[in-house]
Amino acid sequence: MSFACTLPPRPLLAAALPVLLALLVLSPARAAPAAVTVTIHGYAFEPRTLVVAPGTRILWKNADDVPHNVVGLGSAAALRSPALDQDDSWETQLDAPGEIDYVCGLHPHMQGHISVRAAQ
Amino acid sequence: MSSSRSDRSASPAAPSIASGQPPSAGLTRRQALGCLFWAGTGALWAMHGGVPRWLGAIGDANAAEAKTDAGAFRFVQISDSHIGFNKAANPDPLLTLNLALDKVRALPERPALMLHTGDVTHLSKPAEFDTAAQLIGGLGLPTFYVPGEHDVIDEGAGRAWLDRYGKDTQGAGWYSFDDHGVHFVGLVNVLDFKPGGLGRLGAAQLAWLADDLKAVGDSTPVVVFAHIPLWTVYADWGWGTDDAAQALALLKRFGSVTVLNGHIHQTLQKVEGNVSFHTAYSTAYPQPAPGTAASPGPLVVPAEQLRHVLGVRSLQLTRTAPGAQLTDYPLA
Repeated sequence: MSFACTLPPRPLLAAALPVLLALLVLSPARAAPAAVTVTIHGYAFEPRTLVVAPGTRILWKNADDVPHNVVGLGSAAALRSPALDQDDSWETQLDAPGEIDYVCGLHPHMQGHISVRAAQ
Repeated sequence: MSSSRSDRSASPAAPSIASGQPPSAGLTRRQALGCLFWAGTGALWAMHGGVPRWLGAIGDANAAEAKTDAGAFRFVQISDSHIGFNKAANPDPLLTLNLALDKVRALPERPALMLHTGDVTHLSKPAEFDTAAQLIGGLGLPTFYVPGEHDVIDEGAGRAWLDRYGKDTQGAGWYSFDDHGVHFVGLVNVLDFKPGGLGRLGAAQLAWLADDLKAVGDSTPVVVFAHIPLWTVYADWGWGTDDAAQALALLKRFGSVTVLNGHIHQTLQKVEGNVSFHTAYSTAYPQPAPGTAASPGPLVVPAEQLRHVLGVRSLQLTRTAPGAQLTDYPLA
């Protein structure tokens, strides 16, 4: 399979350009999914469970006065943040659909779960 | 033994504790007496048959008697230095680590070695490791480490620890050595956690332990040290080790087993048959008693009380009292 790109005649392009730019700026459907924040507080991930669309950016922010991190389990082992001290944050984008279980690697009684699913 | 990080033979001046008796399936009266030990939190206790008997506060005559047994093999334990911590519970853990080391220097008899039961650093940063090594090295004692979970949160998930402390160790850093007839086993239970939160030794380490203990006689005193307690202190906070029972089954045949842990920043004791369990003071900050707070985070105490809840531990083994005798020294 190949992709070809053909441009319209130059006068037509000039006339259409403002409209195209406006569509790019105003169309929320074209933007990347908004970041979702997980707050780490009181030795817990809040919210503990998330359902997000593929491509969503997730940001973890540590509000505790002890360090925590994010460590994916099983097939999600690639999910691993650095140590997050108080007020540190870390962000990653989840592209592939699937179920992700994760814990804090320092306090594994802290558990979280993310379902990455395409919108129905 | 499949690994020996620092095999140190008993010297003529320091007689071996091990009696060399042949292995036997059950505990004899002599072996049961080997379970006699001392422990405490600024106090001395005798544990005999699992029943604690208070002998006096440190500084009492009984305590002094316990500490002056000539010819004893002495060593010390420190834990949870958390170099890099800088929050309200202790803005200066360097100062309190130095005070802890001064406590060791001030002991009536110089110990032969020191065990550090993990969380040397707070964030596994090279500068934190360097600072700790510099301070602890100033003591001039052979020091044996096991990692805490705070020591393996580098990008390599423990690579930094192995690069620094992994020489002559197995797997993620476990090892054994012998000194003065005592068999020491350093275990790693801060990696490969599962949901639910307890520490974990793992199949590879348990297999190594079984092999390591094959060559050790039943009457040899065994000292096991690891970061997270090998008994479940409080599961809701992850204060226990998921597969500890398998390790303890391997230790059941020994007449005297002393298990030393850190992690919970407070001294607690438990006796189970011939095995005595002891958690240690931190040198950095205290944590709440199990279940007494919403979370196990650093406990802020009035500044003038901080040194009363941090400390070091001295241990000794003698021919006359085959079990380990423990004394915990608060920094103030």
